[in-house]
Formats: sequence, C-alpha cells, structure tokens
Amino acid sequence: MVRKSSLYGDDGMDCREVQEKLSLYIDEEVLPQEKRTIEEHLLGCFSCQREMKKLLAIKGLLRTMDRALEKRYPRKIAMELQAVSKRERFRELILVFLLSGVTVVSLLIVGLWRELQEGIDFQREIAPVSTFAGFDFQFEKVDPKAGGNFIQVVEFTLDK
Amino acid sequence: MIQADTRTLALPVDEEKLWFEKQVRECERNLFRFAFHLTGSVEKSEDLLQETFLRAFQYRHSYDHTRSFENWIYAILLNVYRQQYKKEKILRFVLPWKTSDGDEEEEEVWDALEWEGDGPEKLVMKKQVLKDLYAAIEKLPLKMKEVMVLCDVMDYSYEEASELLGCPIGTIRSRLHRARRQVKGMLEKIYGEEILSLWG
Repeated sequence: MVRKSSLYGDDGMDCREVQEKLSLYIDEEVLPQEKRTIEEHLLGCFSCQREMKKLLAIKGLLRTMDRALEKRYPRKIAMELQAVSKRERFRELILVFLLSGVTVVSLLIVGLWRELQEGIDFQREIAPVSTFAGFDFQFEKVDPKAGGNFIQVVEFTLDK
Repeated sequence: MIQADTRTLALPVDEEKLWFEKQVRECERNLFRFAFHLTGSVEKSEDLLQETFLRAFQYRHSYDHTRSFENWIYAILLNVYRQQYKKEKILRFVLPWKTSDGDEEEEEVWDALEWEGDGPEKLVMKKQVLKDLYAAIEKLPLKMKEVMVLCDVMDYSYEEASELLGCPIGTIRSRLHRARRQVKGMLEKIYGEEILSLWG
C-alpha cells in the first residue's frame, strides 16, 4: 500500500520513501527534517508503523543473540603462538632445502657440461681415421658463422 | 575501542609474544563475539580466532603502531574468515551432502537464556527463534552479513563499522538496510505477523 501524505505538503513522503528511511530512522541516523517528516507520516500510517515495529523487533532479537553469548562465553581463548615459530622454522628449512637443491643441480649441470666439453676435446685429439682405416680424408675447417659445419671433407682418397 | 597503541615492535621474540598476547587479551572478548556471530558455532569461532592469532603474530611487523591494534586484528580476522567462507562455499558445492554440525554448541550458548527466568515452553520457542535468525543471517551475502553482525548484533556504530570494514558510511547504511529487509522477509515467511510478538 502506497500512501502519499497530503497533509504535509511537498515535504510529505509516501510509504515507499518512508520505509526506505525506516532503517536509518530507528538508528537515529536521519536528518532532523527527515525525522520530523517520518514521524508525521508514521502518526497517520498504520502499515509503516507496523513495518517499523518489525524492524525494531528484529533489531531487538539480534541484540539478544549477543547478550546470550556474552553471559555464557567470557572464556579465554588458547593462543598457541609457538606454532608460528614452528611454521617459520619449517619455511626456513624449505627455503634452505630449495636453495641447496638449486645449487646442487647447477653444480651438476656445470660439471656435466665441462665433462662433455672435455670429451669433445679428447675426440678431437685422437689420431686421424686414416691411421686405422684404409682411406684418408682431407678436412677443412669452416667458419660456423658462414653457415656451414665445423669441418668439411674436401678430399677423400683410398689407400693402396 | 579505537585507540592507537604507541608501543613499537622492535623487541626480542619473547617480549614480542608477551606484548602481542597482552594486546589480544584486551580485545579477545569482542573478537570472540564477532567470530561466533560470523560462523554461528563455538568450535568454528575458536578455530577462526586461533588462525587469526597465528596470522597476526606471523605478520606482526606489518602492524602500524600508530593505529588501533583492535582494528588491525579485526581486519585479519575478516580476511581469514572470508577465505574460509569461500573454501566452505566451494566445498559445499563439490560435496553437497557434507553439512556443518554445531547444533550442540549452539544449544549450550542459548542455555544462557534460562537466566532470564522464562518457562520451558517459552525457552524452547526462543531458542528456535534464535536458530531461525542465525539461519537467516547465514543466508545473507557475506558483505551484508558482516555489517549486520557488527551494527545490529554487536551494536557498533556506523562509523566504527565503516572503519573496521574499510568502506564508506553510506555503504554501511545501504548494506544494513538491505540486510534487515532480507532478514525480515525470511522471518516473515516462517512466523508471519507473529514476528512482532516473538520475544515479548
């Protein structure tokens, strides 16, 4: 039901407007002018009065919830802060473990790389194929920047 | 409630623990009320507080000592609760048959009402009303629920709620208005016009 209060001229609010403000009104959060208008409306509007009583009833119920709790539970909450230091220590351990892991893996990679390089160098130093095969290659080094392989066969001759 | 603590935190760990515990003890009652009304269960609220204390202590160095300790720890509690709420929501979606249990503890809390000298029938009715009220609050969107718990249940002013939740007073007003309307609607569905005489 929407009722426009004609008694109060332009300042009068209809029920919808009043009910929008009721929540603030019961908390005394409306401006003095609005408060006056709402009170004047409430005097002549049974529906809005009922709405306001319902809101007040709910507000009262909600406060009762807190009072019941306060009576029953003023107890001390256990505070186990040592768990924090344990957690912090655990995190530190994980960090140390991770860092060590990363270091070990990096060392392994570097070691392997060096090993591989040494192997390649060693292979380069071994005797030419012609010493144990019946043929001979003539090699020529090619600049890798030029887009070719490192070595290139330029001549191939069979031994007698 | 909102008073700044001017103590610095450049202390040895043991002293920091003592200092922290003293600060927490001063506001733990309010923290417990807040946690209980948010979670609706003693066990859950104690877990929530425990996690809040742990996290607050863990991040104690981020506390600006020129501001209120209580507001700082409230903000942490809210963050922890929001995370738990989201997890629970997902869990409820994934495992819908898994329902929360906390009825026995709630009964224990509502037993305090006996002190008001009501007869057994009236008491049973009141307990039921409070349970329905909790159920209604539980169904509210999280942001509305936070405002309603602070302003209506714990009787904080709009300014205090605005400071704690870090949002403008206008937002507090509108959230509270909508929350009240929703709760009223839900209770009206159960009790109809009797809503006016539920407690009287």
